[in-house]
Amino acid sequence: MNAPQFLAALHELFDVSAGSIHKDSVLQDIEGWSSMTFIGLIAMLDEEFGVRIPPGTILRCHTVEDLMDEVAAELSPNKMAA
Amino acid sequence: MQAILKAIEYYLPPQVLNNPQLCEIAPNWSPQKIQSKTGIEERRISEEEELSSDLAVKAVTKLFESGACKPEDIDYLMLCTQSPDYFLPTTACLLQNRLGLRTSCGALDFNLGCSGFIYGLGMAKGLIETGQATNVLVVTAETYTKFITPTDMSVRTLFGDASAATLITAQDSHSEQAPAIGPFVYGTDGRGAKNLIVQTGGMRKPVAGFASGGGVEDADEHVLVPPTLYMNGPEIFLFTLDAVPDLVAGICSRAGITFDDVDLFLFHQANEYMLRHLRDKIEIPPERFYVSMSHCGNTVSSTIPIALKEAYKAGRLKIGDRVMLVGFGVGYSWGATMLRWAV
Repeated sequence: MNAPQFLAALHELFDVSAGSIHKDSVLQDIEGWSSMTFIGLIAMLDEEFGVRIPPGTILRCHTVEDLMDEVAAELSPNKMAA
Repeated sequence: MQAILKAIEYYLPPQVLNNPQLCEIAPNWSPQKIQSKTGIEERRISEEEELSSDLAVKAVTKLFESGACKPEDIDYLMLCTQSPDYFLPTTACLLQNRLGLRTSCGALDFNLGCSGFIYGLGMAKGLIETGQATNVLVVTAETYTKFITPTDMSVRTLFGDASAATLITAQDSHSEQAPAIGPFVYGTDGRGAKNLIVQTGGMRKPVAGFASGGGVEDADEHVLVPPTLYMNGPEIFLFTLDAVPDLVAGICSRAGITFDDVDLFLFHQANEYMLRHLRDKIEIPPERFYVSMSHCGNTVSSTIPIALKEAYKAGRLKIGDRVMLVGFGVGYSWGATMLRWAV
């Protein structure tokens, strides 16, 4: 996973114009954040990156970068082997 | 003797709640958005005085009128509902009387949600194949909308009221064929109880214990009075990602089949967005994955029999077809079985 790939997936999910979501964007302030896009985000992370991040963990992520860190941690070799 | 599914009828109450009406309540939503995110165009809502038992009487009466069976043929009635008329007596006992079933008929309620139809089939098969009953009515009936706060769009967009009546009957078995119903795989994880729940109204939190007049909320802003449905959609979705792929693999393994042996895959119709994601994740061919919920929404335990009936009406089922039925949800509770279409 890299940052451009992650941001592109978020742009597609929230259906916003290119460049409107950044690493330091506040996750729950993204335009279109709702109970439905929240579920869409869980689906996207599962589909695109093969990780299942619990909703509570997502809600504790302040920015997009925090969420990327969670995904990266989930994908790390240590975690994969566990 | 073996149990076969002989007939299905279902009933939807007449009152419609469509997407434009929902958007009048929540102006920041659009009908197109609700449609694309849920796959639902309209839900049916029971009237205030119209209970699960009333919907069940309508569904079973349709079954009798179809000629599939007569009231006197029925020797066992089971009703799956989480919105019964009373704590006691059993709503199925009320139905025995209202439907004119014989007094030598067994009757019981069982409390399950989205997995309920699978469990009903399992119990009906057990009753028939152990010689305890010959014609079992499996009735699913739910009025979840009575538990829903008008402004809670996370559940109001999804749930609709309905009842389905399914006749399971005994037939001479032909040993060369796979069973008409079965095998079964079941599962339960009560750790998920808090994620789909009506907290009040039972003995844990009787409504009488709260001050009357106006609503009452707990510290997490969950409505306690009146008894109100709470759903943590993201947690439920994550649960399905964990449970359903294993459930599908489990039923294939127990039945000794691959996806090539399945003519139609029919899952609990929770919401179409979630179903598509599960379908793609499990790699089920889209042309054999059936969805029918745009006309009634998520009707809880009735979604599978409703979709089966619609698949049959649409010419998607012929005699001998093998259908995988998969239910999952509130509890958490889940189950799956294989059905050989016999109508």
